Amino acid sequence: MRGLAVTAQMTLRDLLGRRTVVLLLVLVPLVFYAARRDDFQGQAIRFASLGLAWAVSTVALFATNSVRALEPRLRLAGHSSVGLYLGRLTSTVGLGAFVAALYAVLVTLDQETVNPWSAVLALVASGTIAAVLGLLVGAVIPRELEGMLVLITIVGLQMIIDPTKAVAEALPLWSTRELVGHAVDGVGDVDAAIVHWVAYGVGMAVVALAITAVRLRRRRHLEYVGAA
Amino acid sequence: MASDDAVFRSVPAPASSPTVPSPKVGGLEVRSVTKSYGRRRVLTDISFHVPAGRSLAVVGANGCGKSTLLKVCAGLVSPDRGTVRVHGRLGYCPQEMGLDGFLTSEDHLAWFGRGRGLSRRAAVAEGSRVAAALDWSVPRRQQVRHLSGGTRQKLNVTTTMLSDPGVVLLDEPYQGFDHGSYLDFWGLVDQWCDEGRAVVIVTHMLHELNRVHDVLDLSGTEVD
Repeated sequence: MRGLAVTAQMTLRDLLGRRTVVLLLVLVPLVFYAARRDDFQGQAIRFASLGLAWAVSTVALFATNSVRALEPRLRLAGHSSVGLYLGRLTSTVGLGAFVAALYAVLVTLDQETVNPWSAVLALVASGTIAAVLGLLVGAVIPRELEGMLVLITIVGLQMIIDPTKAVAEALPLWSTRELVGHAVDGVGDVDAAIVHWVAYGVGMAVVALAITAVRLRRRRHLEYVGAA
Repeated sequence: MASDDAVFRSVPAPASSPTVPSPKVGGLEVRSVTKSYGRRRVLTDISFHVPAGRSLAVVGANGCGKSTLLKVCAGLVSPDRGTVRVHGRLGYCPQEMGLDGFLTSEDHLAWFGRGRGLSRRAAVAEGSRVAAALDWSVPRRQQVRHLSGGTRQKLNVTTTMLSDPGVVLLDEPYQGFDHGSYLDFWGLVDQWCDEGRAVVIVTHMLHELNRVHDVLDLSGTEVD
């Protein structure tokens, strides 16, 4: 799978090269967390998770769009579509998990929860699923502004919609809310949340990979003769 | 060789293009390519052949389909009809920057070179050789967004050559070059032909058409 490791490395270098983005990636969830810290138990965790999802999914969206013109040339240079996508997936999910881990430490130290491990799991689920979601939206919608509006809608809907409604479970961040509920109130199905998290993560990644592979496919009119 | 609308002609071979054994076996055969965007037809039944060691300039008015033709040749755009046969690997240098502004030049060389299995060090060394021929020294730490337009274009050309292509497709590759680099670029084209590569250049520089072997005029008006 040529190109996976170097693509992961270059995606990280690109993101870490945007210092303001790195700062905001860490600060946005903190702002959300701090804004609701004095509210009743658990609300700060919910909003930290929301801020984390917004920040990470936006970064993943831009990570996709910033290399849109570069990728066809990398394909011609010998990289595979799968390697290019999985490299980007690895680095953005890793970055999401890293920021989530920072907030897991903060929440564990700063909040009293019924099930602390569920709070940790909720934040990691939020950071990782948001990365996959951002890559999928970036693959489907090539323009950044439209992509941002879609992300705001999806992530915002997940927070404002009644979690007991069936439509809430159809949204990609449902696992996060379920896990926060279990962490704070002791209610919520952890097993179902984990299944949802994994299923949506894998499902969205497969769809985004398929779209990327189609976009970067070798066209039928092109025939290579004796390529070295 | 070309369609009725397009005009294809050969010009005397460049003086600096001696016949030497070719380490590459490049070549490009375009047959009956037709392409429309909606109701607007931009390419009609275009056919041409660029054998190993030859260069072709594609000229014509704005919007006549030069860049579209190159994208069809690179496999980035599907034609409505027609085929493209490529001998060897393809290298494509787009008119718009196909680069990542937040990476360094060395990062680009490493990324492109990895596609051929090169280590970072080998890719940077090989890229630096191409860059030197364009009178450019690859900076180590500077992000691409801080480079001048001409320097970014040199990186564009350099990354294109890192895959060691048999067919080199260049869409107005010298934009922003200073005069010296511009002359160096045409010297490089001669060198690539000497190495046996097939080179296609979209250009508006009509006074340089004596530097290429063949000319394809997509506007249907033969170039003087």
